[in-house]
Amino acid sequence: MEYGLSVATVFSIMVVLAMSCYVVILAGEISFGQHAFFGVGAYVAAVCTVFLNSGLGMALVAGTAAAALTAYVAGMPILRSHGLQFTIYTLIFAEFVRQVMLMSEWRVVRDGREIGPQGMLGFSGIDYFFVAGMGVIGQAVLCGTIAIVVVIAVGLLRRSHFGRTIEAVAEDPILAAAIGINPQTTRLVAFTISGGLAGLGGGLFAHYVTYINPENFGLMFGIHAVAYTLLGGVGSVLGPVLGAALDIVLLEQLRVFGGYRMIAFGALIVFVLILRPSGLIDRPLSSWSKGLHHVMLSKR
Amino acid sequence: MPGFVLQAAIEGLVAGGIYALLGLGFHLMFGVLKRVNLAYGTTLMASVYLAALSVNLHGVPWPAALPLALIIGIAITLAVERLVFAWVRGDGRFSMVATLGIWMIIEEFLIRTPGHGRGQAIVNPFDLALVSVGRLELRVDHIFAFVLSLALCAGIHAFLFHSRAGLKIRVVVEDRALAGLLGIDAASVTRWTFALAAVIGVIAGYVFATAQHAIDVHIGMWATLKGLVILVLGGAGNLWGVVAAALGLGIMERVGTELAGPGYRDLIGYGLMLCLLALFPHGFGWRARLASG
Repeated sequence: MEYGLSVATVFSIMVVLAMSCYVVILAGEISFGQHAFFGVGAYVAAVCTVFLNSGLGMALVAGTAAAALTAYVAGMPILRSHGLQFTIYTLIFAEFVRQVMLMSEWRVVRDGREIGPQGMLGFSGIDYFFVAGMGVIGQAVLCGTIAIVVVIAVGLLRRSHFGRTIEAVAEDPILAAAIGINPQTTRLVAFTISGGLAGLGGGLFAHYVTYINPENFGLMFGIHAVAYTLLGGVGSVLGPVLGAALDIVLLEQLRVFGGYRMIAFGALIVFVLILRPSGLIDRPLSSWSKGLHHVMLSKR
Repeated sequence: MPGFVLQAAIEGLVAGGIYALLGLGFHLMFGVLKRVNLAYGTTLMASVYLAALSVNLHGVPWPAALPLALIIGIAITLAVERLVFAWVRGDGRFSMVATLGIWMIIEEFLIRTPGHGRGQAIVNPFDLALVSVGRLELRVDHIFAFVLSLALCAGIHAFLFHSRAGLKIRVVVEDRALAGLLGIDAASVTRWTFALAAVIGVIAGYVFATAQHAIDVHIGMWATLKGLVILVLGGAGNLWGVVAAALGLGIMERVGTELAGPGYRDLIGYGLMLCLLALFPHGFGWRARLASG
């Protein structure tokens, strides 16, 4: 029971991160750097509850805001590039953020022991859930609820006017600009939203694991989230959820391939990309042009 | 210039030589396919690792380690070329994600070998011998590594610009469709180029690991990221641009570490990269090439 609940918690957190990748993919780019925003959210939220004794709600808001701000600032130069170049830049940016985490140190003594982030040794003692008496059930319910809200919100975002605008920019920035959309602003807003979502996931993650260190937020971790989205498919907001379920529930927790999880997951990525490059839940073929159509009509 | 800065700059030059080789590997593969192989670093790490493992565990004589590593490296790279680049359709980012799948497979496989992914010692024939030049102390293996990497770069340059096979590669880099019209088998040229990139990368990895006296699985990620940074910084379609970027990065990282303190090496490298990106968003002439991928 407890094990099942902790699987649900991890799954929910990864769904939030996958959603953040999904928003970037809707904007037509693939980011290899969402784990950096996830990490920023984790560190900031942990600092809030540990140093400032704030509640979890405040901490999550702060983590989300910090990550969104990071994405906004980083997005301004990075979003001037497109395609493969954008992907490589996000990767390098994320590695830079991880190096900053490796060098960050802020130790204070509380109740006779030193706490706080300590470079590569990480940040331990994020014990909000323990102090607040929130058990495994409470954590699973909290993370699950947030994940469901995020999935619904991203689904609604996609159907909204802004969602159509994003898809129009993804489809053809020049054409989108011709009908009065500013592609750069649209992409930047989408990237900022995605950063905020990743930060929210990071805040939950930090409090769930109680100990974070920069190694958690490496490229390998970020790639998993991208892989969930591409595996599940970008056709529906449920695609990334399906991708996360495949990896976390089947491979990591139920261990259907025993200890060979990474080999199985890596092979799955390669084969899905060979056989079905648009993922398991494909986008309806007409939807991108539909998105553009919608925007054009509503502009009149 | 104080002596320690000069000493650091020279040591940085050595790291730069290794970066140059890694960058060249990426440069060649990117050139012919306009695709990025993120499994490159892991591939060459795995080749050196498996070779070191067979020396340490199965008594293979150590001079055979490099040829063994080369064979493994070429085999993996050609497999990657087939699986990921020939078979994954669509734009370059999908095959890039697929190379990460390969990366996961390789790393997990190494952890399942009798070495359990732990560091493997590598015989260093130079040991820690030093030579003194004035007030500078230089490690003999570092000098060897630097001379070897520059010689390799020059060799590749000569191959690309003064041989028939090199000409074919350059045509494919310039325009794949045109190459087909000229009767060049682009697929075969691609395979040969990948094999060449594997050879360069494995030599770089082997030399680097030898200077460290050991190889461990983290080298893979490190090599991939460094090579990628060099590709972006120096990929002006010009081989010497790659070499210059690599040497510059090596020196700046090493000198920066000397001035700012240990632990800042990669922070400086990536920070520098991001500053250049913010200052010159349209790059140094490589933008069109990368963007076309």
